[in-house]
Amino acid sequence: MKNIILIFSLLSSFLIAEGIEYKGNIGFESSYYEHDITGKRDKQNALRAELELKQKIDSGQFVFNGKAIVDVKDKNRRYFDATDLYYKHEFENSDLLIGRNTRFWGAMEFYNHTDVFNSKDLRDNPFDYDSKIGANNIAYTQYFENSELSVIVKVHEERQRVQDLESVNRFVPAIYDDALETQESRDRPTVYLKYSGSGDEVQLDYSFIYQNGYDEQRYLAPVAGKLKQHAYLVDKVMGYATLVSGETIYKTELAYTKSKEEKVSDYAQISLGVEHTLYGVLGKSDLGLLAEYYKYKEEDKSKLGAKEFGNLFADDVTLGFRLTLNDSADSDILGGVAVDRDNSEKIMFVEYNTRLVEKYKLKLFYQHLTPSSGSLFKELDSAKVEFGYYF
Amino acid sequence: MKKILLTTLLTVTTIMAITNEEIAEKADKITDGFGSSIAQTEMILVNASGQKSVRELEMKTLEGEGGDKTISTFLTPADVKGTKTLTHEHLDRDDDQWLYLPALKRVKRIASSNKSGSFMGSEFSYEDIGNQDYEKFTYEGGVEEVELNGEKCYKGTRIPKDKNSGYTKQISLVSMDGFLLKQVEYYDRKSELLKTATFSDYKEVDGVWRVGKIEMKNHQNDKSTVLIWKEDKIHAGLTEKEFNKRVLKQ
Repeated sequence: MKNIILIFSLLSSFLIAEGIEYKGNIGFESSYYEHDITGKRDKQNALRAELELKQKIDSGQFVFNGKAIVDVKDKNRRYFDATDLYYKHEFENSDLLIGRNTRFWGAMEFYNHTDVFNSKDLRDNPFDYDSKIGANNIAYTQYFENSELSVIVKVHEERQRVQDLESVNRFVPAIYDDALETQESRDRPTVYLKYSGSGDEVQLDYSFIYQNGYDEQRYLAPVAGKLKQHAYLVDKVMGYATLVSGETIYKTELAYTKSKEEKVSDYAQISLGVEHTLYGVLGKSDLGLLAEYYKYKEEDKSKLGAKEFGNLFADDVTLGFRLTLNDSADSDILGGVAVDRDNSEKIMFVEYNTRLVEKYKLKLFYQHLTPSSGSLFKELDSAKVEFGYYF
Repeated sequence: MKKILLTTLLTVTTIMAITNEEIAEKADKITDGFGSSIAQTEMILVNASGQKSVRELEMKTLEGEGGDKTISTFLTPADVKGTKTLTHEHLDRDDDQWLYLPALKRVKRIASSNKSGSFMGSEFSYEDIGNQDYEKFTYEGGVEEVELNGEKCYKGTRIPKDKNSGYTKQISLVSMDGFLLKQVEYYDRKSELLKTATFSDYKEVDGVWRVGKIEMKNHQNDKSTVLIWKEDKIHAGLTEKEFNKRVLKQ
């Protein structure tokens, strides 16, 4: 806690420096869980803060993004992470980034098979796929008229810490040790070649990625009486695209992974999605209707596959909606249900976001999980309130 | 009585010497030629009970033959600071439009056919904010001479060509002295009066006329929005490079 305050105090002191752009928020989150799981809390309360600093210097800029969480009960959830801490230099038609950052890759709304650059931050919220751990890397990007080519080298594998034993959001047993086991050195580079472009005459965006190095998903195996994550090497090719036609957006993500670890099967992933928006329903509001399908298929059933990795999107359909109220508070309601076609496991969720008196944001979230028999998960209702002051 | 009679006579007088389209072309041309611009704008949203809500935006525009390119960056409210929209306008097909969400570091392509949707929760729609090139309309009827706040204006009717437009017609008032667009009445898909925009605080910079304030009044919900240009630099030296998708993540 003292460290977090010290880091934020130091960073805040930079704000007096001339030319620094800043933004951030500070607030709290409060969750209530209805469950009958022995030994698990039914509440989770925490203070949260995020701060972004940007300093431009000639043709480059320094960027810092930090996130701090201080949970009332869970000591594992008292931490700070610099999700971004990098310098990016702009050349005429290219740029070079050195440091730590997060990236987003993908086209789908609810889950992205191809968003593999960063590890997910399981201490924050294992169901929030946008909560990520920063990754140390060097990236060079060359820009063309309607496309770009990037070479990205990730130079370190981050370990994934988890919430404490009494948290309902912890899915690993007490013997879990977050020290990461890796097939080769933990600093063995993972290289990504990424080509992205846009169509000239059609409203199309696409990306192709080749990856050589550590896979984003990791398997659990015991080492000297402890259960540890194991990172293994892969060759992976991925692609994703978005096509707009009138009021409808078509999306896809594809990936094929060749494992270099004998225990892990080669696997293919595909996602297909469609989003259609009805404008001006209920006055000024827009209603987006979303349907997405995700498939994970391992080639060798005798090896580790989707189930062993705890991949929730092995054969799933998600149906959802987004109601954008187009009011002065930028309010919206997002809801949906994800159904596992294999075992009928379901996650139903709805969230409401709005702004209060210009500087405050309120988020209300409800989720119901109906597990399948033998699932990693238990039946769970969760309700969450997030309230923050933005500056 | 004499005054009323005079006003009525003025209103119904049809000016035969100039057509509706010629007026629109002149009004368009006097705002052309800025090359590129960087503007700091303030948008004040006023609800039916008079409560105000303020947004600040930086808008960069590059003038182009086949359509303008625009990148808008949200500066306030704080929770959306850094959100950007990039629009590549096309006169012959739907525009290309992307949205950058800084919290997720995600660039999303968005459907641009939503011309009638609200821009930032305001009473402006996306088509109100976009380029008002005179070739985007057909023109109906004759030209009338009317007075608006003591200023003589040409009054004419224009019909949006875009099938996705939220309007069946617009009635525009252009000043006779200078061909500046002063007011537009917007009629919705039911042909009922929806909104009135009033244009003011014009400035001439290097031979190009720039609007300084637009007030949009919605007659159906009693809300209004005022858009004010706090700073406006033209011939800003921007190039195609500044309107590439790469700038969204900067």
